[in-house]
Amino acid sequence: MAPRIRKRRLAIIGAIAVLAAIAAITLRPKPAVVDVAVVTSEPLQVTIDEDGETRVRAHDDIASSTLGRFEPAGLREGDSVKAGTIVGRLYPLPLDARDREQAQARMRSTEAAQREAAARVALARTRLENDRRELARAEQLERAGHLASRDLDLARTAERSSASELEAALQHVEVTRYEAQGNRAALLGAGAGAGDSRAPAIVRSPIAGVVLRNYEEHPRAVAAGTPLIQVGDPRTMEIVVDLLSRDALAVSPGAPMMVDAGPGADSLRARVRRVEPSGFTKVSPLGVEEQRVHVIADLLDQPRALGDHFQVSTRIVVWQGDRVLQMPSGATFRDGRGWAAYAVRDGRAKMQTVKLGRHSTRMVEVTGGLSAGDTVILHPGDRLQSGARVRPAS
Amino acid sequence: MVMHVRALPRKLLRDIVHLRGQFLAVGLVVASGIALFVALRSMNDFLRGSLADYYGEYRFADVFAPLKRAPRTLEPRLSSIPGVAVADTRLVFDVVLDVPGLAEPATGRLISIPEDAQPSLNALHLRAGRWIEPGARGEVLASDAFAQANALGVGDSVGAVLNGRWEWLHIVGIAMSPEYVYEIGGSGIMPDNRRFGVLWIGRRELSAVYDMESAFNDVSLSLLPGSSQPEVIAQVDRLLEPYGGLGAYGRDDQVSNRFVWSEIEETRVTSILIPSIFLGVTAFLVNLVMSRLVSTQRDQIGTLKAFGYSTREVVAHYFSLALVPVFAGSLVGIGVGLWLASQLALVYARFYRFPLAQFTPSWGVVALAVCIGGGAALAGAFSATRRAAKLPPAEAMRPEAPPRFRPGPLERMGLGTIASPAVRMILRGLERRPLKALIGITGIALAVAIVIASRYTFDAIDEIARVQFEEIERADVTVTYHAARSAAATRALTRLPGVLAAEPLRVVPVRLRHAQHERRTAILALAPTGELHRIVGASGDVQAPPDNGLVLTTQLADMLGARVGDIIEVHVLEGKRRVYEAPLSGTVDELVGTSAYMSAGGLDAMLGEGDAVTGAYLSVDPLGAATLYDRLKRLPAVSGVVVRKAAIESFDRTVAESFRIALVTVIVFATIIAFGVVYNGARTALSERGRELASLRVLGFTRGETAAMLLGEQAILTGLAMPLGMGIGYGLSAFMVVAYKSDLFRLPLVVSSASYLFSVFVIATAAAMSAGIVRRRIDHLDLVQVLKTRE
Repeated sequence: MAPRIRKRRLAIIGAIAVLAAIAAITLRPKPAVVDVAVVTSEPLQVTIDEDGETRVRAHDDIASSTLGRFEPAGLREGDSVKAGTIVGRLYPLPLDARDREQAQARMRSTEAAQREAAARVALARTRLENDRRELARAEQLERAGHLASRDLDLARTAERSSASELEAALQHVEVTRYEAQGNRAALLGAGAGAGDSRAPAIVRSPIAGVVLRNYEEHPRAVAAGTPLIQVGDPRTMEIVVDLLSRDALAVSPGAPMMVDAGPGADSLRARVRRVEPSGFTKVSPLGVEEQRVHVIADLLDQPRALGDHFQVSTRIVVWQGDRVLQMPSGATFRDGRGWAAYAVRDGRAKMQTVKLGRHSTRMVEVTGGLSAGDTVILHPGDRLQSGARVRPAS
Repeated sequence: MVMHVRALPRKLLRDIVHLRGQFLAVGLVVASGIALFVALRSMNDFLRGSLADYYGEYRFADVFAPLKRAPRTLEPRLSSIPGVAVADTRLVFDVVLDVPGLAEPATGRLISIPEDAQPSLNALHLRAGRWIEPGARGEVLASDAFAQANALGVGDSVGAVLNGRWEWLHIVGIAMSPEYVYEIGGSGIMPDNRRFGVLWIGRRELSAVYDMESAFNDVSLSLLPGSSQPEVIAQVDRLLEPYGGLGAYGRDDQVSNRFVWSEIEETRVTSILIPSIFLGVTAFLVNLVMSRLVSTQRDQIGTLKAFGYSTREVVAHYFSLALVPVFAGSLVGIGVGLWLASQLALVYARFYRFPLAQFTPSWGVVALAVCIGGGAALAGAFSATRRAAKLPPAEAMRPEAPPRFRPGPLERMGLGTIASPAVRMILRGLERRPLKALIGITGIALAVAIVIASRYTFDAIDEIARVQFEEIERADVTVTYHAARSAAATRALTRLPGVLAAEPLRVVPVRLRHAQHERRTAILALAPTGELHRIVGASGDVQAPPDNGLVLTTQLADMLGARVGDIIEVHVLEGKRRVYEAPLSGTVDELVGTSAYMSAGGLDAMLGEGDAVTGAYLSVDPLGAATLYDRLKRLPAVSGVVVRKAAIESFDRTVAESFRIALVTVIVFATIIAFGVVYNGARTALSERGRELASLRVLGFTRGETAAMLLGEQAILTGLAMPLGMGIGYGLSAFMVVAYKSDLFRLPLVVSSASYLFSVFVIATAAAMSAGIVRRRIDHLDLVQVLKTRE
């Protein structure tokens, strides 16, 4: 009897074990399919993204210097002009005494402007020489290792900036010269009793560039001061971005900027030249008022299809590192006041407290908790628990 | 003759007393089936009836037409459309609400009403408070569901940004509308009454705030009897086309009405499906009991017939015996069913808001239930009774020929050498009467299936929630703007406190057309690299939004009769209202809704527009959420905010509330079935094999061993029924997928292993319980008494 009972007991235990095994296998949760990413050490850029606008810096509005009949030379928007290219002829109408008086005053004022322009050139030249010396010294120091590359960058920017200033000043000299010429012509035409023999004043482009805007396409009489044509040098293209004032705090001159004109166009490089010192109020797209600041950057790449006042999207780099341990920010979630992520280890999700550093648009710097090569789960679902079996989606 | 008349009723009584255990089991199964039938059916009738009354009394419109803006001078032309009885224009605006006590912003739908009268269509049922005062500022009527969910009452106020201006809205009354029986905003399948609510406000005030004096942006129309709805819709569309008409639609497409009707349809399907299983089991049980009874009472039948009872009388006797437990069960079932229906009415009242009519039992349903129960009993008793009728008296007096005991196929295959004599006896018993064994297995399998099918609903809803809230929707917060904004709006959102990332979305209302099929919907344009809202099929496959063409949900593609590669006509219902053609580049078998997807770039290219956006998906730092919610509540550009976490909670709560009762009910009933089947099977076997078992006992087998022999058979039957039941349960679930399929959502066919295991547990427990009862009977077997019979 005893062996039979033992056999039966064994059979019962066996049956229970089999049932328990079946239950365990069926109830064992299937590994959840998860999206994963790998923690890597790669360059990371922290950027401020905002829409901006292109602006041709060196441009000139050529205006009629006198009351007269303007006959355009037939230039169209987009035509390129050299300095001195004739943009049209201005046939002065006879001046009365008051007009002559005004023309003379204008003449004197342009002469004064010419002198001022010359003085600015001298000033700009001195500053440039100074900056060049500074740069040379900075380069030496940098080579010797006594200077941070950031300071060298600043010196470079300063040098480039004063070079531009000088160029602008030189251009301004040109502008005033032509203005003076025009005014002189107006005065010439206003000679007492000069009847039909008045020679036309020839209107020339003061700078090289392209015609940005053609205000007067047909011959007509224009008053003194009427804008005739706008000429600008597209190579002097700059980018103007309206940044939120608190974002602008993070931007300093010299910061690199990426400029996207639109789909299909290559990203252009630019460098922040100036953060304007005064802000202004603007209504945001969400309907609230906010304070914004103009940030101006120089394009480093030659824009091919970009024109004046084109909309571009810009990314200003406020921080960058070459070897930054990082992962997609979609993998992180709050754990109390800190952050955590699920790492995949041996086919299981393991919750890992992480320390996070800087954020880019999609990526975040990992300063602790994970190391390069770790696999993390992207957008972990609410049901995922530490220790659960997971299968990375292919 | 006196004895003749009284003998059969007395035998009836004695049989009932004798079979009380089995009859009780049969009665319980009948009661369960009838209770479910009565409850679901009368609920169905009740819902239909109350809804029809409500719609009638409160002038629920037949056709609805939203639009951008039209002058009120159009009103006479709308009401003079042939077939239109009344045309009622109004203003409807969605705004963000700041509800006291609610951290997240809520979405409010402001609907204009006349200051001094009920609207001529979609009248309101004022439950509390008063109508708005003409000339008073900021007075609103709040919808009942919203007010209740937020514990708001007359005298409370909610804040709202109206057209850029912050205003307090004072609740002066609580109302219900036939338009919002199921109060749900935007997309989604479960109402979230805390975060979406309707507020009715005076027309003069609303039109002044939105600069819509003598204009309207919504029309409701009622139709004359006999007029053609499609014709009226076409006319309305033509008339409103220049005013930014978004496409008129009938009641069938009205969200609330559609949900209520799909619910009514579901209860109708369930009221047929589930009770029919119960009644099938009833028939089977009656058959089991009666067959056994007829064969054990052979001699009695013979005697009766020999004494001159007519065959008809004998047949009537057995039929009435079969009807006894069924009618008794039906009575109990009707009582329980009516009680259950009144409970269900309370549940429905929580989801479907209408002035609750008194629940009145439908006696037609009750009568039908009794007939169905009786029918099942008669069907079950039929074959057994026929045998009784056919039995010639002389043969009946003889004991039944003993069955042949010999090795069955299983034993001959070699099992016999391994198995102990007890096991062999069980096997032979089963193999001797395979049909009976099969019927027994089927009965238990049905019980398994019912438990699985009822658990399946949960599995399916769980899966919908998982796919919806984890795979598709990953944004913590979804923001909708009043009107299209520039892409800079998305960036402006990322600058708000607590926002970690933002992805733009654009919704464009369209009418899609393919061949003769047409569907009003909206194209959802997503960022091509978006991670916060993805296009995910039921099987977890992720698609990128197409740059060229459209991705439609399988449901929508089917409605349009379109296949991948077909050209779909896209009628844009805003802006310049142009018509485009786009290829169907793919389909996605989403479970909820009928959506159309494109990539943002693809849509811009098709429309020839710059990057406009109508909303954004946000990823939010939980620590900054509260600050963000406060900011969102006051942003003029924002018209709606959906918080994912809140949506999930509300979804879970709704599911728990609505299904808890249903699940408990079905489990109780399925346990009853399992118990009934197993218990009856064992009892029948006991009465069949009583002699054998008694003989074994006399031969020296212990009580345990004899019981094991009898119960072993039941255990094997139960064991075999499990896989079969799982199969049937899966089949039932698949049937439910087809039966419950609607435009609104589709159930995924996923039965979790937990459901299978749960059904096994429930049925095994029921079987063990009945085995315990039978075991006690075996233990108390009166050996002498049993062995004496048929000597």
